[in-house]
Amino acid sequence: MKTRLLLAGALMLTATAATAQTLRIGLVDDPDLLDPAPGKSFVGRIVFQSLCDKLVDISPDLKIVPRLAMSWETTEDGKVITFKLREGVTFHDGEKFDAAAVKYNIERDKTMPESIRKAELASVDSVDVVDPLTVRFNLKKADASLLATLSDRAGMMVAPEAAKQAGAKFGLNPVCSGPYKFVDRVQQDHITLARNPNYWNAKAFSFDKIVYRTIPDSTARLASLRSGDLDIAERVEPTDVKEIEAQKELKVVSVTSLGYQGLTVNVANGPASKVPVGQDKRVRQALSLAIDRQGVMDAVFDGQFTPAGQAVPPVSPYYSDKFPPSQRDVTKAKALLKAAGVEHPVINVIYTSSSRIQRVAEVLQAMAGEAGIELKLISTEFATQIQEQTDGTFETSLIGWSGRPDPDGNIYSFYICGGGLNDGHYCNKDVDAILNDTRITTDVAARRALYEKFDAVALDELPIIYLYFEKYIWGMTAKLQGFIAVPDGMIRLDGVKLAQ
Amino acid sequence: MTLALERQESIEAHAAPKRRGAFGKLLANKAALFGLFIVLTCLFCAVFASWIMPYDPIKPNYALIRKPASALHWLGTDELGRDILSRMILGARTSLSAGFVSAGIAVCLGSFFGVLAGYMGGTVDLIISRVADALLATPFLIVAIVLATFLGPSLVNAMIAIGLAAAPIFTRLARSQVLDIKATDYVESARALGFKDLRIVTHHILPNIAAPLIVQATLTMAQAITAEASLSFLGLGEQPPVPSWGAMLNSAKSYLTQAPGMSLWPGIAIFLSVLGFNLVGDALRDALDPRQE
Amino acid sequence: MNAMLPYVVRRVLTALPTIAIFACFVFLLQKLLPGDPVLAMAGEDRDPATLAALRIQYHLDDPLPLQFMRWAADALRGNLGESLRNHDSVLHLIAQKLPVTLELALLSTLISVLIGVPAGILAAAKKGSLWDNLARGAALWGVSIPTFWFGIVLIILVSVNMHLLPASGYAPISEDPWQNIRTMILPAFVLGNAQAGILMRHTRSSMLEVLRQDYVRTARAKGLTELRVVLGHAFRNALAPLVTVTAVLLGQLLAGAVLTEQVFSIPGFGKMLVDAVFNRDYAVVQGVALCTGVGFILLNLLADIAQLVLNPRLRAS
Repeated sequence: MKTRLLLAGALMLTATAATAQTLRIGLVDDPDLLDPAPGKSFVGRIVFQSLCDKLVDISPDLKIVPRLAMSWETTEDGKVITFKLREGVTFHDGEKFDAAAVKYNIERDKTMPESIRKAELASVDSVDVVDPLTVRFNLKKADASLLATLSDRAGMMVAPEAAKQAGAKFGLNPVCSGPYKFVDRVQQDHITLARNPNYWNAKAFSFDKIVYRTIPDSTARLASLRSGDLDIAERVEPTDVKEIEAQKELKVVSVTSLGYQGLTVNVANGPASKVPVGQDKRVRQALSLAIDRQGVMDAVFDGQFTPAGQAVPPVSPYYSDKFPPSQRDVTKAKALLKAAGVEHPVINVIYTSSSRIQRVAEVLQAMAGEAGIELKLISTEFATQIQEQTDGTFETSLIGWSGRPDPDGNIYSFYICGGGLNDGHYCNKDVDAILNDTRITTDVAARRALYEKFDAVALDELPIIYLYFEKYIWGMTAKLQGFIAVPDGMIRLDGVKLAQ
Repeated sequence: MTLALERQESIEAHAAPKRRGAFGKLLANKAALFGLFIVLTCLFCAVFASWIMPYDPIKPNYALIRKPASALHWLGTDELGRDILSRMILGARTSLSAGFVSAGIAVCLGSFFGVLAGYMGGTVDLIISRVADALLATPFLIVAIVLATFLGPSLVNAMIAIGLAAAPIFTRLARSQVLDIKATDYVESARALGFKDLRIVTHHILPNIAAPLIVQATLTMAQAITAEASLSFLGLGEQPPVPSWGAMLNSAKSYLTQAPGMSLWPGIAIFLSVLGFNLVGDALRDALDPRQE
Repeated sequence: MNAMLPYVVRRVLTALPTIAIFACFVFLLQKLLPGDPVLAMAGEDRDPATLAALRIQYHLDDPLPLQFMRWAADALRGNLGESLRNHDSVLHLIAQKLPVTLELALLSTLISVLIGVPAGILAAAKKGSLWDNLARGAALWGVSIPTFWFGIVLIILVSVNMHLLPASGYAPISEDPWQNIRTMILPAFVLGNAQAGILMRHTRSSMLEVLRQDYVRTARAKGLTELRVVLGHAFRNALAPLVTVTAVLLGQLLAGAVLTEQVFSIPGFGKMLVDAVFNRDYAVVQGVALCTGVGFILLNLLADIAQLVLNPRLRAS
């Protein structure tokens, strides 16, 4: 009752329609620039999902589904993809969406100085306008993950005229073609979107206004949900799930994420790699065997998260049953250490100071200690952690990856020699060959076999020790219906409504 | 964040020559005795932690996660199944070190420059005073965050940050005291006798300005304990698995509704130790103030 | 009044170098930080070639003195630069948050004055009594409770369990005054509570000082009621140092309410500042710190001048 009243009060001042409905979403971080080309943050992607429509999207089972592109065809050699575009779509400012707009957007992503989509779109050589509703991507070589890439920011279409005028400041007032358009924003506080009545599928969206609020503290975010000041709280703590489930007016929706959490080991990046854990795979194997992954899940996450043994989560069609998370075996771990000639290695672990990761680190430390491995925990903040990773001043780093729908996004740049995310400088020509093959192989079964070949090497040499898959857990009011959890962690609002 | 705030109060507590009855007065003050008792208890825990802790405060115990108080674990267990009482005892070491070391840094650094400014006067005074003012205007958390990220987050760096933030108050305080004393015949005659500057400072000035600095130091200690708690909220305090009261309170915050006991005890500990230091500080000031009968 | 002018001018002149030192200081301080802004912002999507190009574009590879000169020259012309993270102008960001921070600071200070001053007067007037001890205990409670924790406790009690006030959902006063005040009460109370203790201690000691003076004894001897002695004579004279303390408290709130802002999701300076440090968004750190630092120095200046007005004896010296 209180909430309704409050809501009504807030709306009287701003909304015109008497039946206007607002959805209030609590985000973990403050999104960065609201421009898909330079956009970097995960929470930014959540806002884009309602703001900027993209060529294709992914379904809960990671299939590519049409959005602005109705259909697509790939040539035999995989080097040309032709998209048929949706007709009658306009951007929020009335500009027409067509093949020329697609060409402009891809070129903007590839050339704008601030754009960080360049690496993702590296395989795209040029884009041709065939007719207003047909656009052709000419690739340098086949790229099996390109469609998945286009389901994210690289495939989001911004209004060309508005983008040309605003330049680098486009994100301050973004103009896209999504179901909601930008209204206003206060940094570190909120972003407001309003319904786009001209959206091609406007009927599916029942809210007139979406307000994204940044509430980093998990306790405060949950409290806001419980007090009725939020309708959806993003990434609820796993230890709060039971508490939410006990409340009649709240519910929990969750799905295992596309990303993973693990320990990245510095195997060849500078002098810091010249330690047993960097030089001897047996030490890494011992460390992996010393960890009771399910034990960590139970102790820190109330058993909500899933132990991981490979880079892709079980939901992916490329997940392999042949490589389950390794079971704890302290005896074997000690034997491996003995064989490696270091029975009591001391290993530095850097991690971002947050209570969640900190607890994981503390449990890992206790478990490794039982196998004779001393983990020295060094907490940093995120900016320093990535700096140390790229500089190679770390031994191991406890860090996660938010995940991409295609396995390539979780693996390629982390393992390929000289890869942009390969901070440990792992380099193995055989692995490179396999990974390059996965990129040009489009047949799912054949590609899967390649990834299993990759796993056999990578999970033996362990430059990354996989620990667990997180879950995206949304807490929401029980009145909210039709929310579909997709493993990419985005909030999709088509078909979502508040029951009266 | 409230480190700078006590300066006015201390400046008001003018320097007073030490009096013989000061210690006696302190002992006659019931509140002071209570404060002293708290401080000594905390000190005892901090020093003898290794002997009196009933359990290992570091090692997680997965079977005992977030259990309420029981006969075995008097204050219950925390989010990793560790005994809260043991962690509180070890936490006393962290929190008290935060108090002592930060205050120590602030006193040494602050009064060194304060005495220098007051004694030398002129350009030196001008520069030191301006820098102290600028430091005072710098948000404490910025100093703390920058130091913590630059040197890596740790208790030591948190203490340095807290100490640095509190130092300008001591600079101002010491400077004004020195100016007062320099004007007395006492220092003039020492100078006339041809004593060296260093000797004058250590033998004549320092003993006479010590009292207000000590009083301010006890207050700074109390504030440093809460400041450490605030820093650990941002992950910049003592690093796990070593506990501090502030860090315990921070992790307990996530389980406020599920396990309220987890926040209660470190909260009480912080309150009591701050109370203790403040009571002793108050009493010291009263005892050292000659104008009170 | 004329006698005061030279003092005020001198005081303003000494504030200028303080501001200059302060600006250098903040600049150097953040340049000490490891991690470069471009990498920090790119996070997961770091691509070495793009990052290198951006570094050149934003002059991040230039020598430090050059960077500082460039910033200072712009700042003197009233341009505080642009946020690297979101390309918004720093002046606009400050304009967006300044009212929020000011409102929170003023409200909290008001609350701390309302609690702290009467409690301090009571404690001083009845020194050594139960009231005195109660007030002193309560003051320490305020000082010793970390604001982040007290804030969460209040949210759970007042917002979640009693449904009296919202737990988040700040609205600007110009848009929705009712919602604004409802979201501001709790954080202002948390901050005010923390400061009331400090103010109470100052009031008490200042009052004790005054109550010992001869003219108070004279007033008592004249047969005035204790209430009139305390409030009419003593408090007026105890007021001057309290002004300074209140100014310092207010000044520190300009940048120091980070944790409270975070817990109550209030979009003020504190959160922006901490986020900017973590993101290595130099222009924002520098701009906001400059703004709060100057605010702090100005408040001190005002307080000093107010002291002079309130305390004629100081004017003589």
